[in-house]
Amino acid sequence: MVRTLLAALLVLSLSASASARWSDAERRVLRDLWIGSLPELKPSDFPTNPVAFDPKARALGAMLFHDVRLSKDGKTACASCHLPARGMAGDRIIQVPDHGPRKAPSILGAAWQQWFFWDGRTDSLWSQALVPIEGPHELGLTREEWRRKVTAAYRKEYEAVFGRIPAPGKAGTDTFFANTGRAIAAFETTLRPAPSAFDRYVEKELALEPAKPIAAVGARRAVFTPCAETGLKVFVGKGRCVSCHHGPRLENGSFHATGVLPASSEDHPGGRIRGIELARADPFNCRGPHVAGRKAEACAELDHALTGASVLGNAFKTPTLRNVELSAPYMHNGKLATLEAVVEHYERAFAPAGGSEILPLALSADERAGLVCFLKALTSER
Amino acid sequence: MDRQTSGRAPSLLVFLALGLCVPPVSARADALEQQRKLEILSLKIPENLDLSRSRKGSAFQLEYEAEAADGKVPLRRMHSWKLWLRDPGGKPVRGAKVSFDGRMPQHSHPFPTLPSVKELAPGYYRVSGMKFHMPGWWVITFSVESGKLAEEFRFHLML
Repeated sequence: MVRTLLAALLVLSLSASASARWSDAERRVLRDLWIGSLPELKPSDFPTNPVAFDPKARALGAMLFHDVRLSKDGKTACASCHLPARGMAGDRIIQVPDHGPRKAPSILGAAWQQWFFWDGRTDSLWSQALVPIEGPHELGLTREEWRRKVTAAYRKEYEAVFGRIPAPGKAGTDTFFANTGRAIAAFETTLRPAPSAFDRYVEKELALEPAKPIAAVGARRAVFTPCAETGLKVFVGKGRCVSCHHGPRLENGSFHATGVLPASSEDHPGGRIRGIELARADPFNCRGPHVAGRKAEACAELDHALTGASVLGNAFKTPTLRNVELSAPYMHNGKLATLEAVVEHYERAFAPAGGSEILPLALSADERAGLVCFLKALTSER
Repeated sequence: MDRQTSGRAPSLLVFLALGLCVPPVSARADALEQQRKLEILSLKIPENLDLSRSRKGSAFQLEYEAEAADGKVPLRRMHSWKLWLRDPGGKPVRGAKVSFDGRMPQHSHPFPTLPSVKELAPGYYRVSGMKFHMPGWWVITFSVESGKLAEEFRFHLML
């Protein structure tokens, strides 16, 4: 009896301390950030990719994603810049012609995004997958070379998904090219972040059923430390991080000028202004000739994209923070080497020419350290 | 509306007034711009903000509804709004010009998309391309013109 009473008192005191730690408004924010809030993907999320859920397309896409034979140097594949050990981000800075030094972002959960590349210059996962194929710094193939190599290696797999290989010529080659992008995107929809120490903390605080997958016994299970809890308080409070890093991927699908300096004289500053110009000119965009049977609302992102705001010239996409610990260096151009440097960047809020949206923060050393602990607690269990 | 002056203002003024180390013009402009943004950020959200979805003016009545499964305005998701425009007597107003403006009073950035308004049936309009990319206080303004009548309607949202 006494033991039951003590247990009840313990539960009461624990729930009281949990509710004291977080206000109702904060608890709503925590719920929004929790990985269990990711909506289920459905075919209507991919209005221009009818094979997004086709297992055969996903299998073909996985092969195209990993096969280094499908490149000019015979050593490069999509997988070269999206590494599991780096949370499916890159480990190096690539010099992208006409853009400058760029860091390959994480594609874990990219299926929930609307815009791709740091400047959002493509409007679908499949049209994004096409760009590195032709990039001289990446796979470095022409569309015709890609068609020949893929046909030689994967004719049967391609035809099982898309039907006969299109006739030679520009139209057929472009159709083939677009279809292979759709297969790669179908595979990429399977790349999803797993729960982190932060998610387990939220589940405990809010008494939620644990999100799946549950890590196997012996897997890496980080602990949500008091330091991380301090950081979370700052993240949703005075740090204002949650203004842009919200939702279960801790990003908002939008573009912001955060005062990141160019990394070199080749670092093109066009930002989102140039990104949307390129997206509109992309023949593989939602309004292009390679999309059949689109519904009226399918191209809403492209049709209603903001243009003309000068601050967009310095704006780049808000990245997901899940697994951010694994994906240094940081920012679109890899300008900041560590998470500590990122926190310092936001605290000082240096505003370069052309404008920045961020404002200085007055954080203590403990709060800065807490933010770093919190960011590290976003790494998926594995 | 109350404006709060940030605690950083005096230090900036002292810095500028002393002129001991006068920064270049562009740096001063940046500092003043940053000061302006801090003041915007410290704007207080008015108490008892009217979050209702309908407004009655002298020339028109306007009501909106978000096209979402639960009827709530969603964050981070492209969606549309339905608008019902009526005259003071409740009759649908057809053929009006309805234009959109949206902003966050505590932030300096523009609305993240370019919504468009189209009339689908007499007095029933659709606003396509709505997307809210940040939580907080939003103010949406519809300017309505019909014949010689013009009126603005302002809606507040807390997301």
